Amino acid sequence: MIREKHRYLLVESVGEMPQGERELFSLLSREIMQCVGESNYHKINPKLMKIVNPKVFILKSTLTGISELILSMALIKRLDGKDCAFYTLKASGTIRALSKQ
Amino acid sequence: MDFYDLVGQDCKVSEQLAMKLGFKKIFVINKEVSAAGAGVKASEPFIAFGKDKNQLISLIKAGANAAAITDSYIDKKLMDVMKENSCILCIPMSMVTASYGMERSRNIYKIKKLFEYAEKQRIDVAFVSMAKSEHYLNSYMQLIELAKLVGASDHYARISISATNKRLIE
Repeated sequence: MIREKHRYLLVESVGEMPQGERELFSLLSREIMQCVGESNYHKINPKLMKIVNPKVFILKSTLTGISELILSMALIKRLDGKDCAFYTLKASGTIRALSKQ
Repeated sequence: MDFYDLVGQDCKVSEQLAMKLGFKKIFVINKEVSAAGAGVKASEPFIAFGKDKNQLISLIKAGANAAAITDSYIDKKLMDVMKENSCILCIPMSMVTASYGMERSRNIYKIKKLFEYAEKQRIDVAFVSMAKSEHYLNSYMQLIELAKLVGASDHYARISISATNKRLIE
């Protein structure tokens, strides 16, 4: 079995961000799909790994889809009709490396 | 590699925020570099802004460091003058990040064509966020991806955001 390579992104939000993990991921996935399209969404295969604090969280992506995920984070300016932007602070192969940030 | 960005005069950027976003410095319009446009004369170094090609040409001949074509239309005469005067083409990525839907798609297409032409003519291109507020700021990684979206290679985008952006204030 071939092990799929992943990348983790440390993301900080500016503005109002939903607090619930499930709600945040559902809204984020919808926006990412709108940015990259249905055909590219599978390439990213995003997952919300951890909410570090109310403004910072960690997203997981496949290695091949990391560029698209960073791009979507730059293009998303609204979540659920409310102004919300995201800064991609760091990308790494492990969550532990991101936690040091 | 040190990265630099340029933002609008209303955007408040602290040194700490610039460092967090991965930039060595974020320049602010009318602070580190002036903006010259319709009827506005600025002290050097300055960036020419506008869509009136004749006015942009006269500003470039007057010594503008860079020129930002706000409607993104390609004017061959203007591009020739930019090449002759080693003027940098400044591309504000806020045209992409601050628009939505069809307008965003149209802006990406226009910027892509402008960048392709500038690259062919060997005019240096600076990708800047030109954010109006901190809501439209991007980290260096996001700015690189936005540059790649409009046709730049990874290497070109990195050089543009580091060396070319630094030249905007020199």
